[in-house]
Amino acid sequence: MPHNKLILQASEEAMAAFDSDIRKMGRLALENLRLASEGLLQRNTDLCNQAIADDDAVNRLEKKMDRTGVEIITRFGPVASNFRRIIASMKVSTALERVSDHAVSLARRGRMLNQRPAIPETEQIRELTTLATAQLKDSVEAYCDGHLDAALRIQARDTDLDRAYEAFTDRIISRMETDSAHVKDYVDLLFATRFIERIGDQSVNIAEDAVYHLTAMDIRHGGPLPANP
Amino acid sequence: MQDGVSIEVTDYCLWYGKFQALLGVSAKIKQGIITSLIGPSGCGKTTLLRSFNRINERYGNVTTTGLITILGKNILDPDVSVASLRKRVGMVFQRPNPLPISIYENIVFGIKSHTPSGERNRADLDAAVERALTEVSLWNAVKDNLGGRATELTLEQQQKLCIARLLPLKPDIILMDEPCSALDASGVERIEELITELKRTFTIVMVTHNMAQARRASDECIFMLMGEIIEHTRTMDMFMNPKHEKTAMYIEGRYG
Repeated sequence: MPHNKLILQASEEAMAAFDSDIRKMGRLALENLRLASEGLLQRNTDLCNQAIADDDAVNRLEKKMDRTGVEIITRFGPVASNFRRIIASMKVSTALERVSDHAVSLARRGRMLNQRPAIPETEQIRELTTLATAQLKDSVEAYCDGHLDAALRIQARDTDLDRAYEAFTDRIISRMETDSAHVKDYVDLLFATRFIERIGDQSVNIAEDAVYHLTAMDIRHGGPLPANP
Repeated sequence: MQDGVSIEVTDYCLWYGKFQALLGVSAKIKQGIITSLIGPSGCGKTTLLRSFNRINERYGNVTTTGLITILGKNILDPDVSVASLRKRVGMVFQRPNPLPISIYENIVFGIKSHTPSGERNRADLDAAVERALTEVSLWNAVKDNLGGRATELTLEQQQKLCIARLLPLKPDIILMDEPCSALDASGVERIEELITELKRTFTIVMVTHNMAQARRASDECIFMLMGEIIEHTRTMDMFMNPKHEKTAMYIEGRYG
């Protein structure tokens, strides 16, 4: 019988499974965002429906993450970075669940827009979905792979997304003032972009959780940044 | 007895003289898992553990009623041989208690006691010693010093040796009475790892005062208080959502 470090091994296996689930959740949330964005941009209602249907898998994983996290804390009493990782992962999982919910809301707006004739302004959303998707992907990777530099860059990148969102909103409001025939479409576009902007906020949360996991520092709401990352 | 049940206790009472230490205890302890007995000092957990191989009878003045069924047989029946019971139900104590003889002789002592001398030879004994010491991860450390005195090993090694000497007898159940309480942190970790490894082959019942150990190392927990079983459930359920207020108070550290 080989000597296995079973207690340690059991806790390491539980942590590895937990890490694997957060990666999976990240992939699913990103895919739902992609389906919703493309469903809207390509006027493909099937993709929108797929994003809405696939949200359930993310919801289930959120509950699993919470259950497993609490079990790991109860059983093994982790400390230091392992403890921070459990707490941070449970928060990241909540953020990813919100991302997927926003993707569902985006997909619903997409379905409404797809029922009416196309308008040229829809294509302008692509800039926002591209920024939000890249930002989410990078924050999830920074969290899962422990990249502090990448995590610390997300806040600034979100400012770019916010500016693009505000510029888009200003343009649409101007259009509404001159083109009352498409007000419904414009309202749907304003809502759709609001969800994209919120996905950007969630990726900021994920990046902040990454920094907390890696450094034990709370950089939220203007908190001090780690020195010499 | 139900499949998968290793020890079935039915309405078991035990008195030390006039003092009743166990009050009508019933439990089904599952096979092939680690069950922890927890509870404050004096709750009867060690008494119950010691009942499973009738070792508390050594104190004299012990009377019992009820049933303890192990492998389909009530071990309290008068025709049960205590020696053969203890071969099937091994025990590890709080302080390692190797015999003050060599490491090798400690392992073969049990085999010699339970096997007629005509049925054993040196090669078999050597193989049994190597196998037992390997199973507890002690072989590499002591293989060149099998003639050395067991009492000169570290406490952790002595405790591993005490576990190893049970194994050649192929027990079904191993009872452990606070097996880690005399050890330092790394010793505790290694003995817990060993216990976790052994559960694949044996049913393990362990008394522990250490809540963190019960959480980490056991599959089920039995919480006892004043001679009674208050709650017996999956360890995770007991520590996440205890059903009885008394259990909650104990695991939250409010008494004990």
